[in-house]
Amino acid sequence: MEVPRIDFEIDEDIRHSEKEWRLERAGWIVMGLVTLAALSGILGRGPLSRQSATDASARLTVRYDRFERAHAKSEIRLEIAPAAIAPGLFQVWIDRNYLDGLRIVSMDPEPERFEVSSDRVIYTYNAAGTPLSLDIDCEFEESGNHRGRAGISGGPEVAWEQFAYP
Amino acid sequence: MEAVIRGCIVYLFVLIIFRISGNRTLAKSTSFDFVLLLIISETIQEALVDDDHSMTHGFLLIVTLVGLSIALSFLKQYFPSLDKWIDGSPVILMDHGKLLTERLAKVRVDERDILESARKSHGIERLEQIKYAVLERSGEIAVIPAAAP
Repeated sequence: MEVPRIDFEIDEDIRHSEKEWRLERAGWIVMGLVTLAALSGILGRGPLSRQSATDASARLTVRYDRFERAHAKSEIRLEIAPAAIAPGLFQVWIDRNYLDGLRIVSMDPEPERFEVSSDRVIYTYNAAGTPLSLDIDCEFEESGNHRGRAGISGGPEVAWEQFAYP
Repeated sequence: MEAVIRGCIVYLFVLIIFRISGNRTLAKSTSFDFVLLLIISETIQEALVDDDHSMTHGFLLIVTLVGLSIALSFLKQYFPSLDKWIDGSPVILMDHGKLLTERLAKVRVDERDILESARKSHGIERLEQIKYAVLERSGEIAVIPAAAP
């Protein structure tokens, strides 16, 4: 590094500045890595975040994002194989603890009715309008780990885990 | 409580980000830098306010941010090395009309930036009319003109 002939009053500290520049460059690398992590989905929705959970009999599949952000729009999809749908009314349930951490914005299709039990919320559908996939638009109200569980009444159930960033 | 925590986290985050990006990021006054600053302030506002638009939340945030600023100024007074890490130190970029190229590369400043500052502050026309050019802690370039022959 060049050393100037200083004949005026200045509190230059080039050694400190050199340390700062090194730290600056390290910071740029960290920022680049954070950007890559965001693009890949590690910091929210993205290719690496998209996951699904299916029960052993492959009758119920839940599609979700492993990494979410609190207070941001989120989507969970329950896919029910036709074999799992009995004629008449059938019921899908979601764990109540999981729903307590969520704010459901909309469900498509809307259920005929819903009931709340001690550990789950049960949504009743008419099999005539057979819903093969149930889309839930929601928002996580709290950051942290969220364990989900859903199933078809008297049928298979699946569990999954999501993490919501603050 | 949340307002204070949010204020502290955002304050520290912004402090680190602007230190990493270098002194010149906020001092450059091109239109693009101005737009960047506007976008950043809008984004920060979202993170600070979240969904609480009450006056109390707003007042608490202001008190927290100003309080942190005051606390930091005290700390900088008592710990000069902290002052250097937070505000940096000036860097001489030109010595008796000669460009210090290694330093210019490190701080991402070029001849045109120095000439622009020289024109604005002293009406200087050529590089040889400059004795010293210094990148100040504020990110501005200060120019000391060479004595007239």
